[in-house]
Amino acid sequence: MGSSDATAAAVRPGEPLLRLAGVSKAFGGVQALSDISFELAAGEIHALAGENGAGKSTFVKLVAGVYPPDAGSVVLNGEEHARLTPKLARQAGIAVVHQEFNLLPELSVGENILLGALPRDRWKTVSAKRTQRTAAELLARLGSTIDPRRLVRELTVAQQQLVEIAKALAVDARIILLDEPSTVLSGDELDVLHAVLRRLRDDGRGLIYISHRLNEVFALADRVTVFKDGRHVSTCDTSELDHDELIRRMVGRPLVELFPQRHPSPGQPVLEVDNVSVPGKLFDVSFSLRQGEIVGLAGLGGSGRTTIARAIVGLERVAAGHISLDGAPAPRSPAACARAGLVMVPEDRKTHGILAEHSVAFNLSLPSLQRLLRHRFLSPRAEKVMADRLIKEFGIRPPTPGTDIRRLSGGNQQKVVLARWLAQSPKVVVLDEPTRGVDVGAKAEIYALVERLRETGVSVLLASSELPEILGTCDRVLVLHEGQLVAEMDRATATEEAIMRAATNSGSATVSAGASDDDARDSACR
Amino acid sequence: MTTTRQLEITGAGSRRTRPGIEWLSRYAAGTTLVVVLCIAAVVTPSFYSAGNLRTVALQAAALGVVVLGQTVALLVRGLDMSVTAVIAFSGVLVVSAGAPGQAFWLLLLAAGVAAVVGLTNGLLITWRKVPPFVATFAMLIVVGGCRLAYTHGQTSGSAPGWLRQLGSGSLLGLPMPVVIWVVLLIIFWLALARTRWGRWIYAAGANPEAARHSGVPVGAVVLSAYVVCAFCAMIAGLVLSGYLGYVDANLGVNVNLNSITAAIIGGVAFSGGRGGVLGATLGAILLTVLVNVVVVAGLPVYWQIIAMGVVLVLAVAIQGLRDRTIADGS
Repeated sequence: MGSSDATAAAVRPGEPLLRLAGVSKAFGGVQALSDISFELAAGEIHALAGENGAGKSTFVKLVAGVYPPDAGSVVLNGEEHARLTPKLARQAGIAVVHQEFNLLPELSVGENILLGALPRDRWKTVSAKRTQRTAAELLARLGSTIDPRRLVRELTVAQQQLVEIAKALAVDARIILLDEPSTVLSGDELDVLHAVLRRLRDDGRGLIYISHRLNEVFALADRVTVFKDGRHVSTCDTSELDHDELIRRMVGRPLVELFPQRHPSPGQPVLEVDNVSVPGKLFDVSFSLRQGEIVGLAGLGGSGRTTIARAIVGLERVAAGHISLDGAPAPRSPAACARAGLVMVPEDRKTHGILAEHSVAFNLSLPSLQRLLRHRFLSPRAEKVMADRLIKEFGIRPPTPGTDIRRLSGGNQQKVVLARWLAQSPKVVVLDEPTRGVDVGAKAEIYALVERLRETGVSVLLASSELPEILGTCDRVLVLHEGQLVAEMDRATATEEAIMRAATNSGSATVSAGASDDDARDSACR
Repeated sequence: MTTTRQLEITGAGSRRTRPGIEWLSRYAAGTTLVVVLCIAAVVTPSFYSAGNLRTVALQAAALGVVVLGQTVALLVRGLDMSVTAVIAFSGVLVVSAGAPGQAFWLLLLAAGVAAVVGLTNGLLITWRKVPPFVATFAMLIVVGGCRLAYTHGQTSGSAPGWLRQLGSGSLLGLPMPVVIWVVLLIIFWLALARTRWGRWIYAAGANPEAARHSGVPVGAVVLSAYVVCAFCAMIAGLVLSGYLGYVDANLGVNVNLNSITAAIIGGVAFSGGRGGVLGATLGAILLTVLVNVVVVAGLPVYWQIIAMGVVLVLAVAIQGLRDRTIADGS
């Protein structure tokens, strides 16, 4: 299978490929990484574990030369680099495979792999034949038989990822960083990826592997380094650790503390979702939400979590079925829903949540402008009073209403987006991934806020891909699979395993509710 | 938990913006205006003659009224290329009035034209998702054609008395167009800064998706922006035709690009959601003064065009620089 240098030692030789010593990086006042030391040996897969916001992405960008470190040194192949640039990093044999691919969909596989150094023929024009041949060789080394002439946009996500890895081989990268490559892959595809990565390791390359799937870390990696809050916690062989110990090191405290004490006291049903379908995305989903209840929406990416959230607040056109609020049909436009107390905090803070270049006060007051009118004009004083109150109540930092929202950290931006709605005293709040990209401290605060919302009688629907979050906050869990509601579980019976089983539709779920048979889907498709 | 607290408190400074560029993008028009006025005092003192100042004021007023509307369109991430046509058509309609009793109906007709053009622009953009440039450019051609059909390409008659009064009368010693301009400026400033509609305009321009999530009726807000813009153009058409006393094919012919240029020089972002009518008004004054100084100084007329182009390039370059420094800080 190609020219793989199988003799290269799989065990660690003396000099590491990459060494970071005492590296720190701050953005403004935020210390993203402090005093990090790290070594990557040739022929090892080194996993990087840590929660969101632990500094993993910053680490990757630092090694790739995107950010220069504030302090410390980066040693590549025994050569010290004080100011690593992306170009230098590439020349030194570093390649990064990002979660989102950097591929040109309208070009062929071969052209994508060799872009930047396309082989040319006698006439100095690009040689299609040589491009194909070289690309095919590289792909073969990965054990793949993708035709290099195919267009990238025709490939599956898993194949595109292989192309991305082949690009790293094309420049003969010795150090390959993979930033959550597995989140988009299914079971079989994952096995293929693992086989490819092992092959690269046995080839004598060094791989840094970031994944949230801990099982994968144990299955694949030789060593694992744990980061927490920008600090290095530990590095050790994966065989020295077990699952629980790894989590303990990542979180740094028992999980219980992260979540507030729950006081469920559900009342009457507030929101009823009845056989709702959205063409191609959602099929005959029914459930109800009671007053003062927190219900979790679990499911894999693309299972319809976000679609249902959007449908409830009128952002998605419902083709069949209906949604009612307090027994009456719910309004169908986002503006009318907001007036009726049916609101959503969207997943993507940057594109859907905050209004950049505007002040915190502007962002806070947007849905409540009606209440700031004095003689038909907005009262700056009333606005300031409201902003100050919300900032205090939600612990938004810095506590200055005039600050541009972009200057706030992710967690505080999220608090602004949440606080915006509390001023409105809503009936139902739909949260879509409320803690994505938020550090642990802010996470705990957001969970406490959700619990407080519930205590004031608000019903919360929480869509999340993080199961601990759902288990830690919700009274009830709904599981979606490919647009259908496949399971409904009580807090008492729900476990991560049970939810995962239902979400991947493998085996029967505990308590099945709603439409889970194929007939329902066919009728919904029409 | 204490560590994360600390992180966030200090997080305030995590994004750098260069104060110099920030300042320039906000006050560049005012500063340049002062500089140009100083240069004029030295090079062409005749700029400051009463007659010339009156001319400048009248020209600035006509442009300034359109700029108010154009600013609103720019704020919602759009622009209006059809203002020229609305100016000319509404001018033609009112100028052709005969008996005094007819004036009211013709005025209503002009308002109707403005409403139809504004609504069509707005609906094409919000409902049919046509890019603003294409939609309004198409309307420019359509309305221009309608005007030709109405006039058969001839220069239209003489303005009735009330219209002349609107164009060249004065109130409290100020030319009437300037009075109209200032009143509208105050209304627009209040509406944008102090009403819910104004907030919605800024929100819909800054981030339409987030605005929608916050209960802002984004479609209706964008629609309203184009209606407002068309009405501004109509008012400018009345003022201009009253001032000139007749309407020909050249009425308001440069106003399309000039109004956009003025707003951008005045710090209104081409990408929406940023800027205001005060800056844009300064931009309109700067542009008018610049053009006038070139004429009064006796320079060949092509210098006008060159000077305007240079000022526009500088204004856009400053904005681009500002956006880039922000992107770098992220």
